[in-house]
Amino acid sequence: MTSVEPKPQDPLWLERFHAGERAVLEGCYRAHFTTVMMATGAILSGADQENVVHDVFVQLLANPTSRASFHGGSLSAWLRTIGRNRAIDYRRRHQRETRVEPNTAADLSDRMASEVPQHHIQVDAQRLLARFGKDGVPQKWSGVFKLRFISGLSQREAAKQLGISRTTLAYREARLRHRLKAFADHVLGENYR
Amino acid sequence: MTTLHDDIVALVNKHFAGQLGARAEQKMRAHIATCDACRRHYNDLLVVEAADPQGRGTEARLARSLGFSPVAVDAADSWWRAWIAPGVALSLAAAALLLLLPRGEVAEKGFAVRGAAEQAFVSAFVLPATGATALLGDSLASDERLAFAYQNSSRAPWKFLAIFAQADGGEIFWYYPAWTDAAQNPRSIAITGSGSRTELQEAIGHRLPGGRLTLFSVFSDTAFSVRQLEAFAAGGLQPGSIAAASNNGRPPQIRRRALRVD
Repeated sequence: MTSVEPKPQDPLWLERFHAGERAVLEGCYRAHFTTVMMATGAILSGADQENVVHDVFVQLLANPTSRASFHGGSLSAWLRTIGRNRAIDYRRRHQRETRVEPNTAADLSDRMASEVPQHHIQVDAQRLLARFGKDGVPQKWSGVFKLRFISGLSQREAAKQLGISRTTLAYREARLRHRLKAFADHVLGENYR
Repeated sequence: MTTLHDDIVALVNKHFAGQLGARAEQKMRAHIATCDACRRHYNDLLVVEAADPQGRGTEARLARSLGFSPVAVDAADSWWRAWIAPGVALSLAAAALLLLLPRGEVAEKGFAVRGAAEQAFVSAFVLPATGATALLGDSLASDERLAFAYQNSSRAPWKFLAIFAQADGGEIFWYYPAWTDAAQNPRSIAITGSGSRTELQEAIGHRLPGGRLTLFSVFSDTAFSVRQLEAFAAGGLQPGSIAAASNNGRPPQIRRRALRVD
């Protein structure tokens, strides 16, 4: 299914949006996923953040009343407000610690501009990889680990640099992934953060 | 006896594998909002996903859970030429995944193969719509393409290879040889006798129905036609009928494996 790029100024698009046309709603997701992530990331993180982001778009899909409240104009601003409000409600309801407490609208927009959603996930992932590289990677697969997991090269480029076929690289990568998951099960239970 | 936490952990794992339906997704999310332990497991998998070069990322993963189509794969990174076979007698056979094992290594999931040099193997790789190529596991999505590599027996090389899949209902999907014209009757592809791994250059996609699938590979000294092999498959691949068709030569090496199509 091809998604439809949002055109909130177009009455025809708005009609399709209100009707809940799936391709239109997918287009909204593609275009504004980051907006909602940023808005919720100022208040929540990890599983909580994803719960709220998921709920924002589930409500768009399933709830005509939710869609009807958008009358045109800035879809980004509308979704940002919905995401932020849902995140605040979620935090209150589930008594989460405050991650960011913006005092003013300007503070919030500044924070949203600079805050990278799930930044701590990336930091934890880097720590996990560093420890895995030290304690969990067999020497014979260190090349694949360094080029794919650390440097992030494509499979094509990594295989070329290592002088191995793509299928061999894919196989070794699969084995490393399996080991990484087992290693993570072991170390993430510790006080890792 | 499993606990609720065991059930939710299983749902979380399925979510990250892209295998969770909408209702189970809602159940999982409602629970992790209130359960510290299960939420911690979800957050741990976020870290592992971020560390994995093939990790889908939140956008693609949530798109899948919302029922949206995956983000298009980066065509520049694909080294397979892909074609979609038209619906010619499509049937899914239990996917027989033959693991290509470097000498002395143990395969994923604990399969150990002895005497690797004496046997021929096929490796299957899945090309998802997003992410990089990966070894085929126990399941695949209905629109995922498969690519293959084989390693012939170094002691007694085979001359031909055929790869196809059969659904529970008997419908067959062809990978090699390609069968796109019902008027034709192509035969098993000729393969090299070397003991090194050889990649088959095309990634093939079929519109696979959901449910069980058996994938077959047939190494043979006779170039079987697709109609012959379909007849064998319909008859349950009886050794007698296949041996007769082999002109009393060496019976073909047939491998099969069960898969699930999501």
